[in-house]
Amino acid sequence: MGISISVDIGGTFTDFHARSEDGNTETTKTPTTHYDLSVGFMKGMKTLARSFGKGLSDFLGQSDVVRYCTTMGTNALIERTGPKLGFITTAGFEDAIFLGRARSWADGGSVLENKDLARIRKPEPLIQPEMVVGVRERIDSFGNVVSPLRREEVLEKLQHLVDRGAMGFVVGLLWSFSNPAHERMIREIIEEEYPEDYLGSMPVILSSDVSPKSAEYTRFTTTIVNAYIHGVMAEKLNKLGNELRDGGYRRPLVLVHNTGGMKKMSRTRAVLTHNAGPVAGLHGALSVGAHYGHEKIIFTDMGGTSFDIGVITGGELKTYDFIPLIDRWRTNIPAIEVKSIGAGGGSIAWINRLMDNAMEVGPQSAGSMPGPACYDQGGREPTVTDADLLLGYLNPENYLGGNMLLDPDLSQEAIKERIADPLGIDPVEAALRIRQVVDARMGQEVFNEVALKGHDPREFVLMACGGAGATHACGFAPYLKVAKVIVSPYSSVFGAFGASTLNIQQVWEMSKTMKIFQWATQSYSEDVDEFNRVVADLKNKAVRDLQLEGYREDQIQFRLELDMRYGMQYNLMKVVSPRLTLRNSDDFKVICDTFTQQYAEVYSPEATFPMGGINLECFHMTAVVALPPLELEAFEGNDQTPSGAASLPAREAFWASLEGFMKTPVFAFNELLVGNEIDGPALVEADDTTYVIEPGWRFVMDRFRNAVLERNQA
Amino acid sequence: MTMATGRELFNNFLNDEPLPRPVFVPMIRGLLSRVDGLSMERLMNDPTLWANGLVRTHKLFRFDGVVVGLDFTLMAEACGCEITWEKDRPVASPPLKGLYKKPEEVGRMKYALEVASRVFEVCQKDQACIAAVTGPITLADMLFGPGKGADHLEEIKQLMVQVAEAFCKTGPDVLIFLEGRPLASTKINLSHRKIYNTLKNITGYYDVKTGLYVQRYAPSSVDQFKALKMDLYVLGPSTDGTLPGISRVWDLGVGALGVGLGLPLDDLAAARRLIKEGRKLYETTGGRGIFFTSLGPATRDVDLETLHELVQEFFH
Repeated sequence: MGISISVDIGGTFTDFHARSEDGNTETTKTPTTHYDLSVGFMKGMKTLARSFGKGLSDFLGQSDVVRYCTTMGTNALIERTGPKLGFITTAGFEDAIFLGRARSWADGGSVLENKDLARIRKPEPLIQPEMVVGVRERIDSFGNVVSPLRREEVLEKLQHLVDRGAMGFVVGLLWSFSNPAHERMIREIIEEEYPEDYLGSMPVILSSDVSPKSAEYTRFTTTIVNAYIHGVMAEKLNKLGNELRDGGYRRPLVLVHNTGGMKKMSRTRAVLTHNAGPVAGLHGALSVGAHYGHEKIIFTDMGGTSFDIGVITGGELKTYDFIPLIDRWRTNIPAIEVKSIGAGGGSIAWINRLMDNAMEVGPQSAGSMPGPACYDQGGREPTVTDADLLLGYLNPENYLGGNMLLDPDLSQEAIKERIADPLGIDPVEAALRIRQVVDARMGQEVFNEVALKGHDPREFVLMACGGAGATHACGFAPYLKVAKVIVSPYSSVFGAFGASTLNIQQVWEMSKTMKIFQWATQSYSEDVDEFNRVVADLKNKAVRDLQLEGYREDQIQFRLELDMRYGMQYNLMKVVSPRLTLRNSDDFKVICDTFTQQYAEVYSPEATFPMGGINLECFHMTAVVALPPLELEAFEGNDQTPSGAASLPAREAFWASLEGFMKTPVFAFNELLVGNEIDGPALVEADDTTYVIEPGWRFVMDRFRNAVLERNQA
Repeated sequence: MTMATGRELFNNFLNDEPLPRPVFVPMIRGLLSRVDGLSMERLMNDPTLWANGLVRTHKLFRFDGVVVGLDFTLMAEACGCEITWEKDRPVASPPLKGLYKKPEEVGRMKYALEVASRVFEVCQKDQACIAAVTGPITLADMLFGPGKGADHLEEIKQLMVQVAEAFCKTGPDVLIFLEGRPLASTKINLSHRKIYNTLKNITGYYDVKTGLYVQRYAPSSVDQFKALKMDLYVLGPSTDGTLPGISRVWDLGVGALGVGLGLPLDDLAAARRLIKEGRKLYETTGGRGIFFTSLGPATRDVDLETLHELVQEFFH
């Protein structure tokens, strides 16, 4: 085994994590180059190569895998750089994608935008109304053909779209997940008319392939979003792949999925790459937590642009978003839920004139260019990083290991001009308020996220990740009253680290409604054959796909999850099925009992509603090829007192509880040893982050060299 | 085995990796008009002629890299200076109507950016791509008068940022800042370092290395340029028109990626001597930290036969 590289692109920085077979681990960060993501990507590769003492070609040539959490698809949506697509649907449903769901005007908007009801707008559609055509056909909910499809009509509508400049087609018909015959017929007709050897050959994407699930709006939007970003991503990823190959890399590029796994780029659906970085980070938190036996973990990642929140319970990732948002579009991909809010080191502080000059932080970010004012790249907006610098927490000479020199004068100027002067306060006071506002916002969001899922935050361990996580952990942790905060030494590149812990994995889904429990008769379904048929079908698809990826069937592990709900209720709950295939109706009872127990845990036993009966709505088959699990190296303990080598010159830092600046001890993270303890107020400088230990907190370096922050009982 | 291209070799230099052979990237300016038989004034006011001339000249001599923007007056003109042409050389006089806000969209600078974009697109497969623009210290003196620029660095900072960013977007490997006597004759101070830090932050974002070209310096003061912490340094002619001793030039590059060793293109004997010394240095350092260039921008007075002979000797 050679070197394993993982890359995670964020809004401000691109993070890199690389581990060689002898256990040597190197990390780095480069500014995210939004104008061309491959520039920052390759720059990081060069830096990593130097860290390993190799030239780029040797380094990449000795690498076994490059895993990539990319935001190319999201960028294509935001920048609207996708192709002009034509949409073919069932006649009479041409407006379905424009009508949207009830709250589609609010989907993806910020809280402030959504409050502004006079100006709020639905998103600009990815496909314009004149590019949508309806064909007369109908398949019923059981998959029977009620009205056949006519070839002549398809040809006529096709010509209409081609004449208007379609560069690709999306086909989404009613009930196609029950019977995809008509969608496939349309694809055949298009391929006959525009065969691959013609210049006019265009991609055709079927909703029954991308998303064979019920609910036409989300099925259609999922397919459209996938088609829209497909071409852009393919082009950019191929370019990146070529750059890597030119640099010496000889293996396929592997993409991280938002379902908590990864696959080769060539066998990945574009839509599954959205939000992959935070999901990878969540998986990293799961892997680290497993070393401690922690089963309840709150994962947070405070980067430059956003603050991500994920929840782990029972030692598993089992919180899914049923209709995850991609940009402003509701989809139905089986994505693991990680919530993001616009709060990070680059979040801009501003005065809200409409709210009586209240100071707010974010959601706008200064990003990587121009970045916070102190980056000295032409930015003039005050950010959280500027506040941290002005308060003395960050060392301007040692930011990113000294690779980026910060200018405190520019921070002071920006905060004074934009915040302090308008509010009539001192710049330091303004900086403190910026910090307190962002900490409060993050703390409150995390509390809501955990509490509203039915959990008590006090029972959890908090993992504070992201470049600014260690700097703000003591600030937002008190809102949760957690007993312990863990900060990994890889926290500032935690998405990339998390990607290195992932398995090869994909989810195959199929909507199939089955009434498995009848209250009136107190009976469970007898239709085990239908259940087993769907399971076998999904398993076969998974085996075929992973065999094409190069894995044997005996390497594949399966996990079946079911979307279930009580009759007459709307909300679904995903339940891990205790049985993969069923023998008789008793097995349905076992599944119902599992559902009832899980429902009671989340919503309380009083909320269960068996009187409505229990429905099974969708099958999710996760196929996993497990890779060797992450093993964190454990070290022997040492003295509680850090050695002299770990002490750096003390500097003035502001502590609110002490009501002023004070000379604060500073330590070098790399010189600290396992067992060392530091009481706050103190600062610990690592190459890529700074730990701010507030008064009343204690920093302990544990046996895995993770920093543990706890309330100082003394 | 295929021969490494000039770009691959120069990238080795930029990645601090050994070069299998020395690289030669001369700075060509007036020579263009000689090769193309057109005046510089005409060439620089027509991006197509300018770009084609550069590509043609570099193909003719098979240099390892191409440099665009080698003219101190380009940036001055873009900021508001009046330009007059004297003996086919541009001369800048301080602006009367204040500074322009968007220098990257003005006159010959706009053309230079277009030329950089075109030439780099064409050449980047085989040749190192270098952009050059007047450095802030010299620019400030050109805009506000000799000795008065130091007080106005903050005023021109944003203009420099805009132009540096515009050049970075054209895709060069290196952006070189051209400085003359205003920087060379003063002691490097905090304000110099600050404005260069800003510019380095911009180029760093675009993964473009930063270089410093200085001319008309006192040979004894070369070491002080290190304080600017650039990626690479190129020394032009000193106050007496020569290059300092090779060990002094080499010392300037210690701690950086390296130095460009300037060859006097009109003095074959001196160039030969420097190539010999440079090659020796190149071999002792394992091929790291050094490349060859011209001693200052090559003017139209360079003898083409001499240059051709030099190139032949260099590559064989």
